[in-house]
Amino acid sequence: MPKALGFVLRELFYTLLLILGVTALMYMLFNLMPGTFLGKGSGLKGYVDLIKRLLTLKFGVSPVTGIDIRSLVFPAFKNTVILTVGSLFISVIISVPIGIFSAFRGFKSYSWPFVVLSYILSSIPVFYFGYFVIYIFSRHYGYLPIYRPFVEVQRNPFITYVIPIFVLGLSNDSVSEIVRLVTNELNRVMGTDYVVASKARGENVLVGAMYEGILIPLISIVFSKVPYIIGGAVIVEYVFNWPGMGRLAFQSTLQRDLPVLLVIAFLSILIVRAGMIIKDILLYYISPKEV
Amino acid sequence: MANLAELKGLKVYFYDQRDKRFIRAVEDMEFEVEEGSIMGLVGESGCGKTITARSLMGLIDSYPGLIGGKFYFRPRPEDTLELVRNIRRGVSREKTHSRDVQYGSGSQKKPYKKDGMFDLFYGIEEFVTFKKKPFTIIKDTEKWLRRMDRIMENIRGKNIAIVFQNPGLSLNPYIPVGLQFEKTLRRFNPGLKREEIRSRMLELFNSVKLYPGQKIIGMYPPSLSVGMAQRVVIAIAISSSPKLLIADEPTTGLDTSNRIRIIDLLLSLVNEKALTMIFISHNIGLVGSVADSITVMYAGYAVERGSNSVVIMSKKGPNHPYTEALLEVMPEESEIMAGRRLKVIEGNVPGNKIEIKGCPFMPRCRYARGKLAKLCENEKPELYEVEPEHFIRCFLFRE
Amino acid sequence: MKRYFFEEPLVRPRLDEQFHVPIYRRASIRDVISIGFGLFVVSYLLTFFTISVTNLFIRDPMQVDMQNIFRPPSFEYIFGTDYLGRDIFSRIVKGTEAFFLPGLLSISVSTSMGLLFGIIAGFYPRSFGRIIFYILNIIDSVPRIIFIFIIIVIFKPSLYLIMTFVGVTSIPKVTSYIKSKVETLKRQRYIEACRGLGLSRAAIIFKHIVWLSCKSVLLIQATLGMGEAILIETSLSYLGIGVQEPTPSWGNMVAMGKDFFFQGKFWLSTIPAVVIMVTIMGLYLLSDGLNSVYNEKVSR
Repeated sequence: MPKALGFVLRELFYTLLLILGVTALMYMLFNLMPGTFLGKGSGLKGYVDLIKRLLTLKFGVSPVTGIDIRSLVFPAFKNTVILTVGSLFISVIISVPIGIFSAFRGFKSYSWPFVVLSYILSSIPVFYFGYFVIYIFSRHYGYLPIYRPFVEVQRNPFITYVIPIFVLGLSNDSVSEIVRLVTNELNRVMGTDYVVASKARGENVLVGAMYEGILIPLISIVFSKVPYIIGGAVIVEYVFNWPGMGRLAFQSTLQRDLPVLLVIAFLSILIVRAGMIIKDILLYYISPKEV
Repeated sequence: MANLAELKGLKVYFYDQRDKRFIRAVEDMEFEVEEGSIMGLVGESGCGKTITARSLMGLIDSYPGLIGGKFYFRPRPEDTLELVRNIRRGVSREKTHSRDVQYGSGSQKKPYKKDGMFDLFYGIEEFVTFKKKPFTIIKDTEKWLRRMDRIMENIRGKNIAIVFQNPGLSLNPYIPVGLQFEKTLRRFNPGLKREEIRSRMLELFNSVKLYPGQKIIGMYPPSLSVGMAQRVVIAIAISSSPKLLIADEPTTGLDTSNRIRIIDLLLSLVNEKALTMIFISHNIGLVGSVADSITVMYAGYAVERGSNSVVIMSKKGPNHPYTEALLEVMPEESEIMAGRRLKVIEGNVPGNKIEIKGCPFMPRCRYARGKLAKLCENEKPELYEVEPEHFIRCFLFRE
Repeated sequence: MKRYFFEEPLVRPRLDEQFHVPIYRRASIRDVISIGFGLFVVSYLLTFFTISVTNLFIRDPMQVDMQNIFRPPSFEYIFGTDYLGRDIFSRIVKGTEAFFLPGLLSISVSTSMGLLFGIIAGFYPRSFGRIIFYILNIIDSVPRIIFIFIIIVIFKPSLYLIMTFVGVTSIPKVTSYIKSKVETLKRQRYIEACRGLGLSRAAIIFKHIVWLSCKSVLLIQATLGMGEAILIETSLSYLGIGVQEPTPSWGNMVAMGKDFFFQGKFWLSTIPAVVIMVTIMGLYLLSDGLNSVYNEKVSR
């Protein structure tokens, strides 16, 4: 346990270092733009001030819209997390069985139709795919699964939540990447000595290979996809009118509202780094321990 | 004593994805093992010993490739019925295509029973399509694998157990030892209670002289020393009382004192539990001191087989040139002491991707001269019975 | 039914090629199709770009023709016309202009800097390597689109600038690939042997490391990078902050066309989307085919 604690502390420290680095970068960039913004004062003092305020979550008020930033961003943050986590979940649920199936059946399931389909799926631009899905739904069900506050959710919460998550989960090449990873790792692990030995003892190979073949690569890839999912969410949020950080970022861009963007970037880093730390902790716990 | 197992005509090829060609792992292997005896399998690294061992249990899953031959095995009486059922089920009744490999003829149902032993490879070659050499293709890999698995699920662990080289790699490093052991125990003895499993584990640890059993159960494999790990593996292997134990270079990675102890352990197990063992090693001296019968392998071929006394012990008796060279090359104590240079066998083992015409050992054989050389270069020798129960694959002994 | 026929090489390796089979003998039908399709995509991209730049259109992509609005695809108008009567096919051709040069800019930035940083990090993993990776982690932590938004707000939304930054955001990935390659290569005996033969350090780096080994990685990353650049440019244009009307970009064509779905006029939006899909797919296939031919390490 103490070892793990030291590990986490080191990671947190590195995260802090990264936050400092990113905000320094932002600060330098922002100073290139004329006009005042979030920080009071300039130079190093302004930077320190900025850091202090970011870390205490006192984001202030947007100079463009006059709305308190925190009340704007936090609910959006929550919504984006729902979208992100949900879509990762979907990607995994779909990809892992396909990957296992494909590894065990040899090359049969890797045959033409599936390969072509997976390539097509990973190349469809998300903005079209999302809209296409909306169109299908509106024809078949007679209404649009676009999020309109309170109205839509009451009518059919399931559809309103599920479809955007589903679309995001299938986009971004996530599915085919996870499938390929799982298949390759499983095939590789099934050839390692201890798995062959366990098979020689009569055990079911999947059980033995599970840790190294599935769990570990899955953890690695899922958590490393977090930045892409947040980025991809921007488009999905736009298409489905989902009130998340992506849509907020886009609106802020149109309004030239820099402070909000800064806060969004800050929170994104937090999500990404949190993901990395969780991933490292999980991997640490599962990895073979040596004395 | 009756034979426990007989292998005839084993042939294993692999398909290299990268260079897209076939690799010959085993070309023509055969042996016979008597019940209760120890058979030694000797050969250089890369001659196909490990592949042979693995194929006996259907552990070849680096497909595509091909495997063929007949492996007759006498299972435990209680497993016979199920084994026969598995063998008969699902054998494809398709007409097999014509083949141009010296493989045996026709498409008839070959008998799967012989002297109370059953052919574990029965029906495997039904899924193989041969084309012009050297390219051969498996017609239906999953069916082939599934068939192997179906037959072998009865065999693995229960009837034949295998102990690998490098014990650290045989155990799952993510799970504590006790759990892995428990899995195996539960599999072969369903319905055991917790305490019973515990006590059985401790009992087995005792029989392999592993102390303290209590502590070992909770440890993770990477923390075990090599000697301890090897004992754990052996304990797991014998936990289901198999009929045949295959030991693939069990001592090669160990230091000398451990080596002696493990060999001791294995020998005592053979004696006490009437185990039959196949002992694989590249060290002919070691094998010679342990085994009752010997099979010598070279470049995927079985080149000599017979009892220990005729193959190794008798210095004047007939031997395959390779065996002869191996025995000569074994350094005597006096030579090492004197600090003299050690003898070697000139030349290299032939690569496994190119075709070999004729006898594989010919380039390094001291007898392949003159008229004999032409013969050795162009024709492949068979295993000729030189004396009763002593076979040698060399044209020197043709008549 | 032979299951592997498309995985087998087209030409049987010769018997003496026991250890190294050259590429043209290693390729399987699957690889040939992948690379062939990819090259086809590249060629039409080049063609379109050339036509677009030299203005050799058959029909002017900007020409408004209210008599001919909403014509579905036919022999006369290959892809039909849009809501202003402009020929969609010509607009698609002109649309390549939007991402071609910026995309090249992006991949040249990412490959060159990635190579540089990767080599430095590979040779000095503990000193420069750590610094480099710290900086790269900073870049990595911010999701790319957010970064782009910030750039757009601060500077003027020039596509070239954006693509430069896209290239910058791709540097970390390339760097890590190159660095790991360098690290494995560093340990190889033959590098030591070259040094022993008297080759200077620089020569070793350029000839052996970069050209022989890294070129495949860079080529594959460049192909993928172009695909990403296209995706980003089209996404931005779709959102309206990339290329502006009336200049065509595949992205803003999809955006403009989407409103007409409900009127039954699919082609306005679908055709550009399909073109995007085919292009991206071609580039992915190209990279996969190259990967399979260069880096076959699948052996058991």
